[in-house]
Amino acid sequence: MLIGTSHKVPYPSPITCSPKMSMQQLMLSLIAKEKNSSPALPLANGEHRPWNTQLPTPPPGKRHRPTPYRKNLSPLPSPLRPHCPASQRLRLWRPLAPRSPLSSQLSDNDLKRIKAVMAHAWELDTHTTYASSLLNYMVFCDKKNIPEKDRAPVSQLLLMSFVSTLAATYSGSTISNYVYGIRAWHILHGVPWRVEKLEMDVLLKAAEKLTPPTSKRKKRCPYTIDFMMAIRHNLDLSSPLGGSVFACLATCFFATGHVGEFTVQKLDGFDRNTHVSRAQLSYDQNREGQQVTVLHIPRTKVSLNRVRMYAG
Amino acid sequence: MDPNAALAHHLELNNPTQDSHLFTYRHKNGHQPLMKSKFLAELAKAACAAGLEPLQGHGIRIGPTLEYLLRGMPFDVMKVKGRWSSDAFTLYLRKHTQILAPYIQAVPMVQDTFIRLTMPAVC
Repeated sequence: MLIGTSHKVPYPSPITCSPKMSMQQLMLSLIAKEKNSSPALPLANGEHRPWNTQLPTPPPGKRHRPTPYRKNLSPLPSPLRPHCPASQRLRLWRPLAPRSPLSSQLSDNDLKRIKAVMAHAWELDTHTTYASSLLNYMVFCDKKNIPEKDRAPVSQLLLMSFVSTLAATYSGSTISNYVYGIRAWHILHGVPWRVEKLEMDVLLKAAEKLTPPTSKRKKRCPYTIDFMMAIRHNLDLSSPLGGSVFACLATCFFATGHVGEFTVQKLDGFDRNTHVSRAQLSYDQNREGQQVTVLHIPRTKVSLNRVRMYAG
Repeated sequence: MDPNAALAHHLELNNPTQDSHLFTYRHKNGHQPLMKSKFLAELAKAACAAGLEPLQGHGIRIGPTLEYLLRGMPFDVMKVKGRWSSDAFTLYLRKHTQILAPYIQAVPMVQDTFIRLTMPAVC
């Protein structure tokens, strides 16, 4: 499916941001489109595709050595909470009473499979964000001497106390994310989530209002063509880095993309199933014969973000 | 400001292979993919050098939304172009009313739509 259009300048152009830029140039739009999963390979009649396909491991991302806990945020040692990289914490930290087989027909491996598949519902950086919520929650429980059986499922009161403890210290959105993180951990491990939504919503709203000024996000101002032109004059476009940076900026801007869709988080973090590679760049023509630049974005959080916003 | 020329220049200069990151660049004796932190740091450096206050990365998504709208792209087309599945993106506009006002007022057609989208319903 082609998303976005390249118009043959049918619109009036009442504002010119740069005298050098014609409307046509601007509208020779870069189109970013999301590539959904590749179509299933055709199978010969009657052929059965094997089940329990091996999953990409670990979901997704690479293994890294765990970084030490910060001094003021170290959980008491527990076999339920191994020291692991943050991106694996949501999976590897276990509740006292996880999902258990109802009958002997389902094995431990079947249960492991459920969890392994489920973990893919969250992007790697969501796993990492949620890891921090889980850590904060467990440290909070340690400090209050909460017994394991009362940590999961979390009681309404305990969760409200956790939120109230953090309010006015952290931003409201951080605290909301902590709640979503604990919720995701419950869901992943099959622990019932019994939280009274109305009450929690009001508490989170209060936490939002109590956000300390130091945690307030700086206003996110829009880039403009003028701003980008000023930047261009101060980048060395003949240097490899400068050329790449400006191309990325221009592409991201005209494709209305997210910076995260066009850059990598870590030097070794390039994954062709997630990031845009050169192979995903193609050129096409629209019906009027104008050139259109098409970029396939293999995977994106655009839709997931929305789900997260409503979660809780 | 021609994005295709910028992209072509980068491809010629850095020549990333088909399977590497699109914005891979030459570094020392090899290549490396463009990291978000590096990208934003370079932009911030260039903005400071131009005597401007650096903007945040998300502004690169908000900016074109305004740019295309102000150039007359209809809201529903913009929604598809930006791959938004809800009308949440109009929140960006609401938050930037003051910044936008002088630009928007210059385009009466956009202004009408804008007001319809951002003003609370009369009840």
